[in-house]
Amino acid sequence: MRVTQSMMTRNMLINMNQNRENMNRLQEAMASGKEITKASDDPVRFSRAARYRSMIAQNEQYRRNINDGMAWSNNYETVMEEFRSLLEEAKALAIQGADNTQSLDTRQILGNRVDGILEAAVSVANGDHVGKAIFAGTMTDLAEPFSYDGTSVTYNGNSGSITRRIAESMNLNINVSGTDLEATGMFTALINLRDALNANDPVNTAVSIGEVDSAIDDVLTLNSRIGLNKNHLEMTETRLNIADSNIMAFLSRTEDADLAEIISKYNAEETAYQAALTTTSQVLNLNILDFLR
Amino acid sequence: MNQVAMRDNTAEPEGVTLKYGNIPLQGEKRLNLIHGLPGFEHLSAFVLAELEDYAPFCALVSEDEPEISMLIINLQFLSISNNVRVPGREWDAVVANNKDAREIWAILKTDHQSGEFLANVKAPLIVNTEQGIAKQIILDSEDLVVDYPLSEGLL
Repeated sequence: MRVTQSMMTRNMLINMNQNRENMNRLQEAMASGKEITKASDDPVRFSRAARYRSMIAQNEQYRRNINDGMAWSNNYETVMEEFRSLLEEAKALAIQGADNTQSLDTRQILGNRVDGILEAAVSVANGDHVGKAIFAGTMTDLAEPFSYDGTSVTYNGNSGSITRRIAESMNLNINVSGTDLEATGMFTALINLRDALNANDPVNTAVSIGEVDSAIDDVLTLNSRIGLNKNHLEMTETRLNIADSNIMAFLSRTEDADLAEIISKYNAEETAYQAALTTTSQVLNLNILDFLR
Repeated sequence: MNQVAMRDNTAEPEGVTLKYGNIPLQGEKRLNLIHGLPGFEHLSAFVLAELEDYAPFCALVSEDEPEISMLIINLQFLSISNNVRVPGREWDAVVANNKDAREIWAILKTDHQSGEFLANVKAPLIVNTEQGIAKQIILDSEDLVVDYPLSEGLL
């Protein structure tokens, strides 16, 4: 028998309708067939469901830590871009100052501008995230992790790591310490450039161009590390979301609505009990005071 | 209660009926989930079986902990399947060189309020049906979500 297009279409529609009908029946079956389980009825199943529910709660805490880590990383990215911009500006001044035709006065003006860039860089390095110094290692309460006395830059923090637990057995270092920042050679390069210009020294000014370039590269490398951190945080968050979805898929077949109701009822009773204890305590105190009077 | 007593991939054990809740299962296939399932990383041996009288819905049941089971559906029954592109490296991971042996499944959960089925098309299960190797992968596309309503996309 020849199979016509209309026959194929009709068969497809029949299958689609059957699929939908089966889906509706299955949804009803699952809704009505939920087994009411209380801890006393089946402690093993109750315990298992409760355990997976607590995993979801734990994942929520991991997500908060991930969000915190992301906020730090975003802050660092902004700051690194500021450092790069300042260093590029210094490099342009260095190129200008290395020109043999420049005068003493011009180089001193350039030297003052580099000094201004140095102050700005120190100010950026003393920035904070929600009131915590971002380049102080674990000494996040420091007001000035970096101090500049007009001659040299001093780091007052430590090289400590700030970590966040972002998954089971997975901690991530979310900070960049001042030690890491110093290691870019940024402040040293700017100081050397300033001094060369103020000394009217075109040779060392030219050398400084290379030092500033090297500092720019190291700042970009540090920025890449921050980018990798962000990727790691994003991937971990996605995996947590998938884990939660799988756990909910498992709990969908069990007594999650009843379990939620039971937990909610327990919490309400616990709150009422604590409130009753407090009230009773207040009543007793009144009686004691009355007695003492 | 789910019962998975068999070890033979083909023979059904006598006197033991596989169930998903109160619904009997049939046509079971054994799967080895490489890397486990996020949330259930300690489990890798599963059985994929059809729900009797509820085609096209199937169940994924853990062999080691039969209480751990989920509803699943083959993506061919969802209109969104056209948007699902599995990278070649993922098929390589489950050694699915034969394209005819490749299947893609979505894990289902129910909406807490409405009881409606929601399919996780963001992280589907890819299956090499020849060798029984499977993996839950995460797709990059922003069009794909973990809670795709079946009522909208079931074919």
